[in-house]
Amino acid sequence: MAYQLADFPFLTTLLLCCVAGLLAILATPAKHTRAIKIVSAVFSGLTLVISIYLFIAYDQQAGGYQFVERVAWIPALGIAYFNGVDGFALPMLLLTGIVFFTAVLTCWEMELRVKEFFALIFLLVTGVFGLFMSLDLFFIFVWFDVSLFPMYLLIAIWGSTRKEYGAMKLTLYLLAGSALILPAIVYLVVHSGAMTFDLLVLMEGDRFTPAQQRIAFLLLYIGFGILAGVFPFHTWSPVGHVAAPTAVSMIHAGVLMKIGAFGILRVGIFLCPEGWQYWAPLMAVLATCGIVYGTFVGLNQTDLKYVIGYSSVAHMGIVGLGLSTMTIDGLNGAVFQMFAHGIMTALFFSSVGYIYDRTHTKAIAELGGLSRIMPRATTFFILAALTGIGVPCLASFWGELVVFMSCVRVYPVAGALAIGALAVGALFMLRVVQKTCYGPPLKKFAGLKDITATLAVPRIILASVIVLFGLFPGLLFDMINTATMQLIGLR
Amino acid sequence: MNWILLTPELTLLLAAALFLVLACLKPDPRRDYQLAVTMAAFAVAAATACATMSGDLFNHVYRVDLFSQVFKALLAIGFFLVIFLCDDFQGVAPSHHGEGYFLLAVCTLSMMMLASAVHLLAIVLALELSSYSLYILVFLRQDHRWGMITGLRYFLVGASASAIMLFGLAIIYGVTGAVHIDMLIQQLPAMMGHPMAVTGLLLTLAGFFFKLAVFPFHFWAPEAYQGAPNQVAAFIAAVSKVAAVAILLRMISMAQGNSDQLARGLIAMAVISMTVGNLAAIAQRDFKRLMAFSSVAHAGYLLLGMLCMTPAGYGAAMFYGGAVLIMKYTCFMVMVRVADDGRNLQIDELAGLHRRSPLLALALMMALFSLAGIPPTIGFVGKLMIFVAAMQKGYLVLVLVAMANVVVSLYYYLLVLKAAYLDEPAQVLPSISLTMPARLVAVAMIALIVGLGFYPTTLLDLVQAAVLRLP
Amino acid sequence: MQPATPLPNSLIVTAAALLLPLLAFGVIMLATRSRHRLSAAISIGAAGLSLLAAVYLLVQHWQMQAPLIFQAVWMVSGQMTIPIGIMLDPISLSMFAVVATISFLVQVYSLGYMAGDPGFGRYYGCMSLFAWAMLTLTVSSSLLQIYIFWELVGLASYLLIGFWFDKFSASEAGKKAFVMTRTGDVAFLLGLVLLWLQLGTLDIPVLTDPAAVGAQLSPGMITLTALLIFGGIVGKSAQFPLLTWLPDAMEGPTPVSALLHSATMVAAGVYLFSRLFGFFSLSPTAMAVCLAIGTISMLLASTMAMVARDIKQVWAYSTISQLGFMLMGLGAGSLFAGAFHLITHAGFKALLFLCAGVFIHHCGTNDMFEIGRQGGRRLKSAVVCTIIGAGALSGLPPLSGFFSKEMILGHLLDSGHPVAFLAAAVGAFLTTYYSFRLIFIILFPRDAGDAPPAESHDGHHHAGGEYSMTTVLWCLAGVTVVLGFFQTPLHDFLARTDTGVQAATPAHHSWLPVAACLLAAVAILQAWFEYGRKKARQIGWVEQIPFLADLFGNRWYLDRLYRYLLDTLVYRGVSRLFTANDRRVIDGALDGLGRSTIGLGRVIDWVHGGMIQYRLMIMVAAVIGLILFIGWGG
Repeated sequence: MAYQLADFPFLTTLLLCCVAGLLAILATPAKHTRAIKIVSAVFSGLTLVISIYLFIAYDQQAGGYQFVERVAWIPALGIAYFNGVDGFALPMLLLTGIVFFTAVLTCWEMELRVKEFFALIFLLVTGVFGLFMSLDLFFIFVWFDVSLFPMYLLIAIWGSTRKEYGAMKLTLYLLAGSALILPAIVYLVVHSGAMTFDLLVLMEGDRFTPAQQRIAFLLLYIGFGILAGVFPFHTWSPVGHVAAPTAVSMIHAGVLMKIGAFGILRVGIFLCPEGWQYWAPLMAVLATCGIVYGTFVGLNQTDLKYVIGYSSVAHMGIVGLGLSTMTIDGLNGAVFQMFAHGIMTALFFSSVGYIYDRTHTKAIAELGGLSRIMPRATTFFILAALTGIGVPCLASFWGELVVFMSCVRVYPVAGALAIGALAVGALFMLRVVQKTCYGPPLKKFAGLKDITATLAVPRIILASVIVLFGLFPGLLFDMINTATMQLIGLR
Repeated sequence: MNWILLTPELTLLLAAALFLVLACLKPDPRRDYQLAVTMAAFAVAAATACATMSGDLFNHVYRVDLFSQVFKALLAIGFFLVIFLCDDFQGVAPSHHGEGYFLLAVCTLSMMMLASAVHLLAIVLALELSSYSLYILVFLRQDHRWGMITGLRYFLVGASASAIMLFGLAIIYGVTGAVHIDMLIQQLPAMMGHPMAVTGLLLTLAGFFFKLAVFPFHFWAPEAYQGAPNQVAAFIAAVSKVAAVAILLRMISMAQGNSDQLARGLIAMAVISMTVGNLAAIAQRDFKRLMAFSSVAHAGYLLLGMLCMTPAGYGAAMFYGGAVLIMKYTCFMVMVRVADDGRNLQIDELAGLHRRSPLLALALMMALFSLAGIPPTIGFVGKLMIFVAAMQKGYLVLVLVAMANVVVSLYYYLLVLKAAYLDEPAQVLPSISLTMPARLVAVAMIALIVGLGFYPTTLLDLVQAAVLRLP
Repeated sequence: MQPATPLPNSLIVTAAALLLPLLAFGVIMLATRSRHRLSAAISIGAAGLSLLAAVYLLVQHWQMQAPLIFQAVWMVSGQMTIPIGIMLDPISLSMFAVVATISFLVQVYSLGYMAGDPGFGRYYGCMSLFAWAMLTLTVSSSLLQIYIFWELVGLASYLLIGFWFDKFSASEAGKKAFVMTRTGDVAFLLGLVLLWLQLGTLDIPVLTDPAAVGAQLSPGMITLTALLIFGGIVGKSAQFPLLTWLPDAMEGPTPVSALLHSATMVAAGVYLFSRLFGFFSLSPTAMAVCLAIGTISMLLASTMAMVARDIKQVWAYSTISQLGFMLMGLGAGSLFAGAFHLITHAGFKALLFLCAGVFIHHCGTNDMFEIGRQGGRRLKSAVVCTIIGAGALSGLPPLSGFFSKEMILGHLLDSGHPVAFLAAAVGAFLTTYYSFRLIFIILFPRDAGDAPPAESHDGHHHAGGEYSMTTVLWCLAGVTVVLGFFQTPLHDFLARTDTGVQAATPAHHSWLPVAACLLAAVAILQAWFEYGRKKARQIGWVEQIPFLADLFGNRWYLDRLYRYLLDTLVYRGVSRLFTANDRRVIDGALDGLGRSTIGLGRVIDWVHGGMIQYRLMIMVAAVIGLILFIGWGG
């Protein structure tokens, strides 16, 4: 595919912002927690600005890969430091920027081992940015793992419920996924006939026989799918999210799960179209199971974060459903849903985090009447819940609608089931809202403060993004469309 | 007869002689240590200086080429690092420090010879020399609960391994009537269909597998590691592996790759080694014992590279050998610093390390992730190379098995990490004070692990060039 | 039909009328939520302006021939484009006017009713949200847009029902309402998507064009989609079997019940049906189902109303039955009858609810007997308005209800569904009965303590509130009285709607009005006999039959049934099953794998302990095995 190199390396600058932030944090003495927080806020804000700029500066008429940077890295293996963004990557970069910035602001009050915490967060996010912008399989894998392994410490040190179990389970499970991805990548590279990790070169022509594509795609689908919370590989998600601290849950559910879906798209679907075709029915079945299953299991949960964890399973199921349709609309909807769910779940976790910080409980049974005590905080919570239900004029509605459209066309039964799950989904979310926010205010929480301006900022940002893209979905769809057209046009 | 080619060996010989004399005089740890470090530094200098030389010595018994010289450089560096670790040679009676340095020097010397020897008898001699010096080094452990027994067991296993190897050599000689690698290279490939020849070659490899601690010749490892003084354990774990890789590459390359039977044997050993090593390591509480099993597992990975019998595979194995040297050494360095009185370190004794010495904790974390093959570390690049090589031979399943093993290994590495970063010690411990050189080394190790993980190109090219010297 | 080129100014006016409430909502929610008077002013101002706009449009387009359509592409994704637009034609215009009027009046009324409530600002915010969503729904140009705002009015109703969320019953009712309507909407969305896939567009003009639809859809598909969409209508208009949410929705403030749950939102279902009348009439099955559902709901609801003691409940049931009545009219094939009744009903039902609000406001109770005892009859204007409203409801001339009801009956008679006609007659009888039962109970309380009505039980009541409330009552009463005489012009106006089917002109049955009136009179007499006259024990004939009383009192046990199904099937059944599976099977297998791996590790470690001899033996054995393996392995 044709591309011309960028005159200014914006993408590398984006990465360098993270690295610089990391170094700055390491340079600051650990006792100046406030300084560390400010530094991290500044640098994460920078990344947000850059990602917004990229999103705007991208030329949608031209389409294709832009802001491309290419430096030969390990010639012996045909590895290059090769970055570029298209209509798939840019929304993800934007998402990462938003969630990263808001997550940093969200843990403004944290006091435990602040320096290490922010350092690890920055490391993690560096990996995420790198993965979304990389066009070289080697680096894609490297960034993938870089974004995973800080997770263990982040959860095990700063987590809450059964944190060490959750951390170990999550890390091992996700890295088990990467243990399938690496062989698949190497397999593809070796059988491509050209010793190169260059994604675009590997895409050209029919390099792989259908059989090879099937093997590789299955490995990639499961490997990335574990991270994307594909049923039945989802069980790490609730456990991990419950254990993780707020900011980490935000980043993990908001961005990392997207990495999984994005990996399926970027590596699996880009390189193994026939494998995709072959396994699409399986994907559809698993995705539908995920949607129905997540919704129903969520009904019975007693812990706020478990509820959100399972709602993530259901919503990522919608993404998977979109990917499985092999239609332009399906892909568009899937990517849109990835974005919308990222923002939504970040808002969700941040509000739950606030409730937890104040009330010190996540057990639904012990909560109630919060809307009287902390109206502003619960407003965000309710907004997130409504987004989760898929109320129109809130972002995720459009993603779901488009996915369902294309799904009913391709797999009518799956589509019907998924749409049917909506009603249960509403019950599931509203039940939580009712039990936590509504009802008479409880004595024990009477004294609690409502959310302060500083802590409200990140949530306001997230909420306004949800509404913005809920009212003007075109902003995102036009962008995604450029990439989808190109991908489907390729065949 | 060009003696310049022998400079590294001669330097070590000189060091050995020197310490032989010093051992007889009144012991003085500080003097011995400084002297040892200086000599080791010289050795490194010499080895790197001679890195590009080539030639044959002792009428073609001893070959100096890029392949051998690169390994010698690695060995010298490893030797230096280990010596550097001996600043307080705890675990060995002060009166025996001299012998300790002497034996280390001799052992390294013999390993260098192993890297260069191309005549079976020379190889055997070098191998035995290095093994015996190691046996005695294990004996040097101060408290006799360990030294005696484990040394003896180490010796027993080693002896039987050598016996098997000699049997294999006999068979090979019987089949080919040749004892020089060059002649074997001409004859063996033709005979590779012949079970006798294969068996002979495999049995011959037994001795080197013993060094590399490949199943089933790994039974000495756990106890030898536990019994040996910490620094010596570091030497065994890090340095001796490099020599083993060198000689194994030489021997396996003799088959010229056209032997499915040999490959099958090696595959079996590789798979069993990594599985056994990783599984057994899960159950360990003692740091050195855990490292022992993890080196069994890594022996499996190395073997995976070698059994491809392609330049890519050899290069990968060689690169990974170097990687193992760095990673293992870093782990042992941390252990030696933490267990300052030379005791055997239990994993939970690492508790609170992140507060006692952030630098060491970081080094340990990087080393562990590197051992687990998580990018961006040198360990990951090594594994990647190995997998690429294996995949080129079409061993998809083998790679999947290896990756599954990596996941298992991650479990116990994370447990160590958890001890270092999460657990709080029972009673508050003082922070570990490091001398400036020690800090430098630690930083250098971290830099190497990450740096070579991100930009391995130069080292890769060197390795690729080196393995081209192999037939 | 050709959509005429839209007149820009009327479009601007419409757009303004739509956007102002949205603006108000945003401003109130973000800024002025805590400043009650200001919020109220903003919201009412917006509503008033949209009312003016509505009137202007109505006058402007009274003579319109073809619908005005303005569409803009809102979103493009691959093959699908999602338009958003405005479609002005008689039906939408009249509904637009109705919604604007009622919501304006109700908001004014709320000034008095909600005064002093801590959530005053939030209340008006939600009201504006509803006004925006509902107005936009009425003028939507495509089915998808209708669905979107359909969901949004559902959201507004959720927020308003659960307005006093401290009360468990309120939040529960809100949840119930949302989930039940959502259940219907699932069918709606499915049908919509199917339709979209078949037609490639959801523009109303196309849908209502028989040629276009018939060309591309098989009859079976038409019926299927029609029924699915009808599911949405059932949910939103609280028809059988999804009717139980509406009575509970009375937990919300009374003005809300008046606006959302009687006059406009629940009528949206009927509106949608008349909107897509052309489409539905393509499928006889769908029409028949519609007729049947309407009949059943009407009868069920009116029986329930006969035994209710809660004044709002009574009107809620009657709303259900009246909606069913409209559906019967539409199902019988007359667009106008249904639509006309929709309009008149909006007027008098809102009136009735607001009167009920006044009673409740003063007596602080919903129980009509209690109201009577507390001297509810002292509230003259409320009583009079109630009587007017009830008269209209029971179709007494010359009130608006009379005309619309009589039309529907006429059409049922022609449509050749004698059963439906009889059912309608019975329904009419029951309706009159229960409405006057209520009136008599309030007028002639037993053991009447004629104490002046207790003041302001919930501190809502304060001076100034009165006027706003009573004025609104009188306005609506006036509407109720006069609206009926606009039947003919309205008919001509609505007849110009392009439905694709020419409205059948009913044969005029001169005897029908008389019969209807007689029926009503009998019903009133019975009500008087049982509740009005001095010696009446105020126990209806139904209440004397325990079985019926029980059955009707418990809403035919529908609620219990749904509750039971929900608990057993969803919560205790599927959900628990899946949860167990998740914990035990999937996660259990995972942890089991981990544990077994660790166990295996222990075993292998044990092999490495013990005496050295054994290990040497293993070693030798392994070597021999290896040799055999490569020797004979292949």
